Amino acid sequence: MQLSIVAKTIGLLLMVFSFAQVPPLIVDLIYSEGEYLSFIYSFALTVLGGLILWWPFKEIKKDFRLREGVLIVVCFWIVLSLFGTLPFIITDSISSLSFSEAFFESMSGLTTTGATVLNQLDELPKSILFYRQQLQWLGGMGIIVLAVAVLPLLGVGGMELYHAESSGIAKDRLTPKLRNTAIALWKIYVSLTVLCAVGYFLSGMSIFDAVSHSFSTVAIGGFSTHDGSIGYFDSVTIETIAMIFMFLAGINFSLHFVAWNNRSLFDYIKDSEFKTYAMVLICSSIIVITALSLNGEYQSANETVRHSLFQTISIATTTGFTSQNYSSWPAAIPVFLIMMSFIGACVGSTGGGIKVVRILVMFRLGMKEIHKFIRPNAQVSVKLNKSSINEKALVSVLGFFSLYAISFFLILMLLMFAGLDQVTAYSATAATMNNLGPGLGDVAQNYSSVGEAAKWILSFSMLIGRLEVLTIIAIFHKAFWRQ
Amino acid sequence: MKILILGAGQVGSTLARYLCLDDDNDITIVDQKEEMLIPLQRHLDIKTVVGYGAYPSILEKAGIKSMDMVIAVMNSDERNMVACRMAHTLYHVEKKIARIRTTEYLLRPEIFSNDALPIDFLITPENLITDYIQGIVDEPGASQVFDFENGLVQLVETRAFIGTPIVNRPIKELQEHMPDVKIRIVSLYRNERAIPAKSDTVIREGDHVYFLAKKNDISRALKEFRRAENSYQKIFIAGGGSVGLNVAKLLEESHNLRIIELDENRAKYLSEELNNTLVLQGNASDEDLLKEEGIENTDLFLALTDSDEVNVIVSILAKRLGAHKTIALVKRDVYANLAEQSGDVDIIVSPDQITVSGILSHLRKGDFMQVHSLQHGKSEAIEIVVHGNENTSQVVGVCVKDLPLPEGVVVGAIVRDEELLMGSKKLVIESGDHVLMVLIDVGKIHEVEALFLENE
Repeated sequence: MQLSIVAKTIGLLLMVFSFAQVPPLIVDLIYSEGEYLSFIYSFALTVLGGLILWWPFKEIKKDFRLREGVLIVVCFWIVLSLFGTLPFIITDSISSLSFSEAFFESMSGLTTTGATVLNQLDELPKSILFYRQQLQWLGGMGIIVLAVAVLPLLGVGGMELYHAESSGIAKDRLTPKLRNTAIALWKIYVSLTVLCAVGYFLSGMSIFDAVSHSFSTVAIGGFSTHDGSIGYFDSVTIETIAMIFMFLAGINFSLHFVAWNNRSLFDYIKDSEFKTYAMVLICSSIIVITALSLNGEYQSANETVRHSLFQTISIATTTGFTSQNYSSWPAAIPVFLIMMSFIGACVGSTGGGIKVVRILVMFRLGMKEIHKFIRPNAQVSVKLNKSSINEKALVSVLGFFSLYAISFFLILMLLMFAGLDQVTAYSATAATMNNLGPGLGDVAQNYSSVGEAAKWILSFSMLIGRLEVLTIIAIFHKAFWRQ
Repeated sequence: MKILILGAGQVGSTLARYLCLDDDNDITIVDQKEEMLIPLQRHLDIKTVVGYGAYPSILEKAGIKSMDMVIAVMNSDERNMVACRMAHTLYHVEKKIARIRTTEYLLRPEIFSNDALPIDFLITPENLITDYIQGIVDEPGASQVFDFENGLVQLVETRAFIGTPIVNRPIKELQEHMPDVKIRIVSLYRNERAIPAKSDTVIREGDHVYFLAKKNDISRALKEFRRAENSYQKIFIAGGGSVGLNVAKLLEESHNLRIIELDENRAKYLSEELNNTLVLQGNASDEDLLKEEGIENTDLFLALTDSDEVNVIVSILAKRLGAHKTIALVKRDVYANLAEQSGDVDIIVSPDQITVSGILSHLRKGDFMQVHSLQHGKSEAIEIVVHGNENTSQVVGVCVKDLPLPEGVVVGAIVRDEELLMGSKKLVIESGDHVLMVLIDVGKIHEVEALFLENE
C-alpha cells in the first residue's frame, strides 16, 4: 500500500472539488443575503486541505493499483463529506448544528440519500439551500466519474478509481476511452437536469426552486428547499414532471447513451432490466392505489391515484421526495414502499438500492432452481437480454446480496443499541442504505431527533449503500492491508 | 484514430499496449476468450468486447461503423480474411490490416485486392522476424539493424567498447577517421537515458549508439565502435519452429548450421525441409549434446524456441559453454531486461516490437515509408516523404537546420532520387525527398506529422 500516492490523489481531487463552493457564492451574490463569507472561507479551507495533502507528495509519480484505488475512493468520499460540512458549520444562519449533524447532512447530500437534520428549510438563506441541492447533484453521477471527466491527469489510475466507485454487474464502456465515457455520462446527466429545470420552471416554480429541484430530482436525491418537499407546491404538473424525471434518472445511463446514439426507443424495450424496472413501478403503483382506495384515505379517486403514483415512484426509485406524509398511511403501505426501495433503480443510474438487474438475476436463478427441481435432467441457464450469464457474475450477485443483507442487519442492530425503536431503526437503515431519505416512525420527516451515535452510524450506512458495500467492506478486510 | 483490433493474443495485446501510448488513439479490442480481455481492460484505457471477431453482430457491438482501421490478428488466417471482408463490404472501413501466416496465400498477392480479399496490408510476423535476424547476422557487431529505402540506408544500433578508435573522443572525429564514409549518429543512450548527439559529444564506453549509414559502409563504420568481428561461420539454432526453420533456410547455404529441435516429428520434418543443415533431435539445454557438437567454437548461438524462459536460459548456458555470441528471441520485456543484465545474452530480439513496427507506418498521418519502433516503443525512427510545393508545405524550400522541429527530433539523412544526402545542415528540402528522422520521444510524433502534412 502506497499511502503517499493515496494522499496525493485525494489532495488533488479535493482542490478540484473546492470549486463546488463557487456556484453557491454566486447565488449568494445574486440574492445578496450576506452569506458569501461562509463560502469563501470554505473554499479557502478546502483548497488548503487539498494542498496539505498534495504538496508533500507532488513529486511522486507512481501509478496506483486496485487497492490504492479502492482506498482513494472510500477516503475521498469521506474527506469530501468532511469538507462539505464547512458551509454548514461556518454559517450563522443555522443555529445549534452539531458537527455530527453537519456531517450527516453533507454525507446525505453527496450520497444522494436526501435525509435531512435541518428544520425550517424555508427560512434558510438561498445560498445554503442551493449548496445542499448541489451536493446531491455532484454526488449523483458519482464524484469519481466527474473527476475522470474533468481531470485527464488521473490517467490509468482513473480506471482503478472508476471501477472501485461503481461495482455494477456489467460495466459497459460506452467509448474506448474512459474519459470520453465519463464525459458522455455527464452530458446525459446535464441534459436531463436542464430539461427537468425547464419543465419545473414552466410549471410555475421560481427559477431558484426549479434549478434546485432539478438537481435533486435527476440525482435521485430528494433534498428540497422547502420543509414540505414537493408537497409544498401542491401542483399536479410539478409532481408529474418530477415523476417523469425520477423515472428517467433511474434508468441505466448507458442505455440512454445507446438509445440516443441509435435515435431509437426500441433499445429501451429490448432491455430486460428496463422492462423489469418499469414493471416493478407499475405493479407497485397498482398495489398502493388499491390498498389506499380500500382504506379510503382520500375522498376522491383522483387524489388517491395522484399521491399513490407520486409516492411509489419517489420511493421505489429511492429519491425520497414527499407530496404527502405517506408514513401516516395505513401501516402496510409505508412498509411496502420501503421494501420497494431495496429493489431501487437500474444499475448505472443515479438511484440507490440493490439495483433492479441484481434482483432480476436472483429471481431468475431461483426460477432455475425450481425448474431443475421439477426436471432434474433439464439444462437451464440464467439469461439476461437473451444471453446467458456466466457463473462468475452469478456468484458475484449472490455475494453482493449476502454482504448487503449482513450490513443491513449489523446497522439495524447498532441503531437499536443506540436507542432507536424497531420501526425507526428498520426504516432508517433501509432509507440510508438504499440512499432513499425519509424513513418511518421518528425519522419520517427529519432525522434531527435521533442521537449523535445513531447519526454517525446512519452516515456510514449511506456511504455503504452509495459505494455498493463491497468497496467499503474490502478495506476492513485484513488481506487488503497485507503487503 | 479509432482502431479496432480483432484478437487479443500476443500480437493483438502488444499492439493495443503500444497504440495506447498515443493519446489520440481510441482502441477497441475483440476476443472470444474473456480471460484474455480482463487483464487488458484492467491496465489499459481501451474498450473490450467478448465475441467472435468475424461476426457482423460482434463487430457492430464493438462500434465498427465509426472505425478508421481494423487490424485482424486472430489465430486463423481465414478468420482474419473474413473479418476484413466484413469490414470492407458491410461497414466501409477505410484501412484493413490482417495477419496472414500461410505461405500458400502469401504466394498469390493478387488475391488481396478490394474485389477479392480487401486487405490493405498484410502482417507476416514470422517473415519480419526472419528478415530482422538475417540483418543482424549479416552485420556482426550490430545489435539492431533497420532498413530504409529497401536496404540502401540502414539504421544500426551498437555498443561502444573500450579500446576502439572513437571511445572517449568527440563524435566529430568520426569523419576524420573515415573520410570516405558517410555516417551520422542520430541518437545516443547512456545508462538507458537518451543524451543529445552533438558533434562535440564525447562517446563513452558502453554507450548505445544509433547511426545511419549506407549498407556497404556499415561494417567499416562498426569497427569504430568495437573490435573487428569476423563474419559468423558456425551457427547454432535452438528451436525449429517456423522462425527457426525460416532462418535456417536463409542461412544454410552460406554458413555452417546446426539446429536443435526437441520434438522428434518436427526434427524429422526439418531434416526433410533443410538441405545443408545438421538437424539434431534433443534438448537445447542438454550440456553434453552442446559440448559434443562443439559449442565452444560456435560463432553465433540463436535461441528461437517459442518459450521466453527456454531462450534466455539456453542462451546463457551456451555463452557459459563458450559460444562467442548469443541472440535470444524474447517476447516479454521483463525477461528481456533480466537477460540483458545477465550479460550473457548479447542481443535480444523482441518479436512484438518488430511486428508492431511493421504496422506503425500505416497508422501515421502523412506519407510514411517506414516506421521502426526503438527502445521498447519509447523512440521511433521514421522515413517520411515530402509532398507539395513551397506554398502548400511548411517544409519544402526550408533548410534542414531551420526546420521547426520539436526537441528530441533529429533529421538523420535525406534520400533524393535514390541518393543518400547526409552531413550538410544547409541542405534545402525539396518535394519528393525522403526524410529519415529519429524521435527520442515518440510523443512528439503528432507535431512531426503536422509539420510534414501538405495543406490542401
